Amino acid sequence: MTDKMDNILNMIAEEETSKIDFEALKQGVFEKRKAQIKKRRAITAYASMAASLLIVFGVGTLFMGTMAKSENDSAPMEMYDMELMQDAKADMKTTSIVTDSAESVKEEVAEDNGIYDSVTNSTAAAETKGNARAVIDNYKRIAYEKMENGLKEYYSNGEDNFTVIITYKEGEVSDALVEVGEEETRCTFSSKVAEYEILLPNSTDYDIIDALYELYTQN
Amino acid sequence: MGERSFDAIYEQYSKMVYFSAYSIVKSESDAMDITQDVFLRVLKHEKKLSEMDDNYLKNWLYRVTVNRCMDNRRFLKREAPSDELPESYVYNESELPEAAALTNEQKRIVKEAIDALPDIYRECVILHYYSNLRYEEIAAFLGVSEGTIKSRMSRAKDRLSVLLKGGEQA
Repeated sequence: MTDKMDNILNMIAEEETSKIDFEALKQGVFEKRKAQIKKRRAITAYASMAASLLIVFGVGTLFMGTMAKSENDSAPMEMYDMELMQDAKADMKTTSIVTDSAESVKEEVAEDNGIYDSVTNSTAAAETKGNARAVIDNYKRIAYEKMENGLKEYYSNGEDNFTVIITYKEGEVSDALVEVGEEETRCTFSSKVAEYEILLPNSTDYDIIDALYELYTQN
Repeated sequence: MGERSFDAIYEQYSKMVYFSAYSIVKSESDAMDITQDVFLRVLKHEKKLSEMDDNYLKNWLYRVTVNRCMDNRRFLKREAPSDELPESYVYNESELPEAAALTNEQKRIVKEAIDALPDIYRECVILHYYSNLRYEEIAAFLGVSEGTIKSRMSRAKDRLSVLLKGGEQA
């Protein structure tokens, strides 16, 4: 016996489907993709610039400090801008690269540019620029490798909307920590060169959080 | 290029993704946004996905769709799965009108009744009739047995038929 309700539902489904312009929807996907690529390029450029500037400045400042100490205890402290040096050390510890927030990276770059301008006037910064490049390249390589691995792991489970914050820091490896909050889950861990903080929406499958946790604690 | 292009994947699964999203969010515009987001992920992983087995790809797409719906916190408050419909809505097949004879008003009533069904029933109806998924596929997606899907579908149809005949509102 033909199920009349089946026929009714099939007919209504067909009518509803015909109302949706799937071709337009597809074009929208391509538009969104273009916008995403454009945004990512901007973020990469800003993040790279911010990190490079800070490392150059940081290494330059440390070099200046070392030179001042070795030359003579009687050297007048006024010749170095001590306040600037302290700011530089603080910045080395708190500089962040936020992968999906162009605005925050822009702000950091703008904030750091002022410091950089004053430092580039020093000979020490220019002399150490080559070393600083090598340092930042290495830091970036490690950081991005870790991020990429995390993203791959996450993508394979069908998600990609999380934030990775990388903070360059000094210090030793510390334990990773996963905190399940009301709205999001925070996974933090530290390595010798950086502190990582991953924020995931709570709707995320907890297997993914576990996978990320394991991935990072192993590294 | 793998075995399937993005266009081929889109052609084959866009309807499934859209209506899977619609069954959860109950809003055309939100379902469209979610569909686009899901296929953005397909674009990103086109090569890998193009080589995937059909079932795996279908499961991946469904899971991404549901996750994406859940990411929107507006839809997190879903009804409890235990919200079963009573079994008293057994209808007489012969009392239903033929599909071709349905008036626009009757169609509207059925559509509204589908939207008003409890989540677990609405999902089954939409995934089966709108997304053209088989019961066994729906069962796999939802993590329940095929028998459960058949039972839910039967109760949902009973409820819809009562509403169509001008019975109790959902």
